[in-house]
Amino acid sequence: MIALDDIRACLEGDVPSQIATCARDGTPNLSYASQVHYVDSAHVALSFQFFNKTRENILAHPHATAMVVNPDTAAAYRLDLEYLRTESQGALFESMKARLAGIASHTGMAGVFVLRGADVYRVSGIALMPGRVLSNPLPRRNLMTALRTAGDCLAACTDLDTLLDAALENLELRFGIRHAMVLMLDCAGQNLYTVASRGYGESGIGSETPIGAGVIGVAALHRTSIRISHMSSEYAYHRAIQASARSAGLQHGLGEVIPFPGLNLPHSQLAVPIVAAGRLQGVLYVESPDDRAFGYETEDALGVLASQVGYAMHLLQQVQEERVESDPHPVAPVPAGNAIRVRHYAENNSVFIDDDYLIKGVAGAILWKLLQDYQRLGRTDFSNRELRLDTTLRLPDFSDNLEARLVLLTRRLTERCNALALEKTGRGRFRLKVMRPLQLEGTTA
Amino acid sequence: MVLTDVQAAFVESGVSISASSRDRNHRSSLARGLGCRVSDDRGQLRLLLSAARSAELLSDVRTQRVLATVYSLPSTHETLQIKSSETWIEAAQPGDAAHVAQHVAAFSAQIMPLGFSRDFVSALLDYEPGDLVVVRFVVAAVYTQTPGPRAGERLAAA
Repeated sequence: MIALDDIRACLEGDVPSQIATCARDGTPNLSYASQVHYVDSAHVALSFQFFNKTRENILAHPHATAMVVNPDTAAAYRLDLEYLRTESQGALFESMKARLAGIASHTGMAGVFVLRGADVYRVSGIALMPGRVLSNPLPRRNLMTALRTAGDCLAACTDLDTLLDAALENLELRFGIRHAMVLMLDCAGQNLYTVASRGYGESGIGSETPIGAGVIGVAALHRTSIRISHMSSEYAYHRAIQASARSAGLQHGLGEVIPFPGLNLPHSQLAVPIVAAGRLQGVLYVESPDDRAFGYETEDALGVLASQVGYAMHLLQQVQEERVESDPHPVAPVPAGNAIRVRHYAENNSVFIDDDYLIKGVAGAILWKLLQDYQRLGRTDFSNRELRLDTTLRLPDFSDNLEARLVLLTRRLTERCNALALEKTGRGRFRLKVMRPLQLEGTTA
Repeated sequence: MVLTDVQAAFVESGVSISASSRDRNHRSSLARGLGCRVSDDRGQLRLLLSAARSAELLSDVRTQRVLATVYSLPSTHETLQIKSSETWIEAAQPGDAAHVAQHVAAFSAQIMPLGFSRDFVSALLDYEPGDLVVVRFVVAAVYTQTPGPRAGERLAAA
């Protein structure tokens, strides 16, 4: 028998599939399915959008036959299906809903195609239907080789900073994916924050995406890959995030919103959850201005890559931080020049340099602590360990990934402030570099 | 019942055509149509098929006589389903091959702008000239199947 795994190209929704069913009295019925979605090697799910004869028939007699076509070779396959159940929420539903939005928008049916449920069928047989078949185009690249080479690079990384850059660099060099980012989960805020990006004019480091919004937020919420092969305004990022930001009333009058770096109107989007040791760490997101840029195979490969990134993040967190042998806290010399004004709002730990927003949340609290220690004690050398133990910071639990917060903070300072910098001095140790005098202004809520 | 003028013109245009029947165990068969010709009184249709590519469907039609056919225009998604329980399998007649050629050209014009190549269309609707076969059937019921809230609605006779 032909394996379902081998004909996934037919399940992208490029060529409409037909579903044949039979009424109790034997009257045949034929309808189009916008989506025959690959669930696993033995199951597909059909998009249930309207109450119709197909639905009535399968509820009475759970056997259906589908005809699916490969969009490159024109090979048609007959699938024998047995209806099992309908899912109207959860990972499968959300994944199909996002795909359907892309298909609907591509075919001018946005607003008409609305997913009511994912009808799950067992595939009991697959047959190639007679007919002329074109030769398969050669794959653009060998994804296994790409994955192996990228994996070797990731395995060589010794800290989170280089791991993130290596992951994005390898996506471009080995997979030809030029627009990508990594977002980390903020356990406290129900948000994801961008910690690394590649292929954008503005890096967008520090920008936030609410859990549940757009393909990234949905991938995080349901811990499932979300892939869209055509432009969908419903899932276009800027719109999703703006709407969500508005409804959440995020502004607080501080205007501390870092713009999301993504493409304005991506035609292909793929968000893969980064999970390690049973915990969601973040999301790997890639996009393209082209239609159909990412297929099932790329989704698989990036799933493996995201897993590897997740485990590497997890392990790098566990690495024993160097003990600070002697910690005399030498007093730093006071730099010359005009003072920079640093304001801190305790309400959300947002930090402004002169009048420009820099960062908020955990990273903002860390920076404020460092600057206060510098101002009061002249300290410049710090360790991750002391930050973890500092009760005034009230860091979320260990899994929140302090390392990622420091990467975020370091990168924001590099991009936005030439008077302050964080510099790694050893495993789990870093130095605050202050190039101009400081004027600190704390504001309590 | 008979088709309206508009329905008759629609099923003869560059629509995507597919057909389904079933065996005595209610197992469905499917095939892709190469064209459809409406009788002068618009009460019967002649569905043109490749015999080699539709063997299962033809066998079911021969023994069970029931048929469901669907016509869908890719550019608008306008879709009709026409059902019948009075069907006959016949040899192709002069003019049928020309109609198929015309239909393939009209269908290509519909789907090539969607990014499909001429090669793809010709493989999808490929047939050998001697292989053309006809299922003639009486129109028993017509349904609209255009996606939307009215999908599945049975249409009144002309």
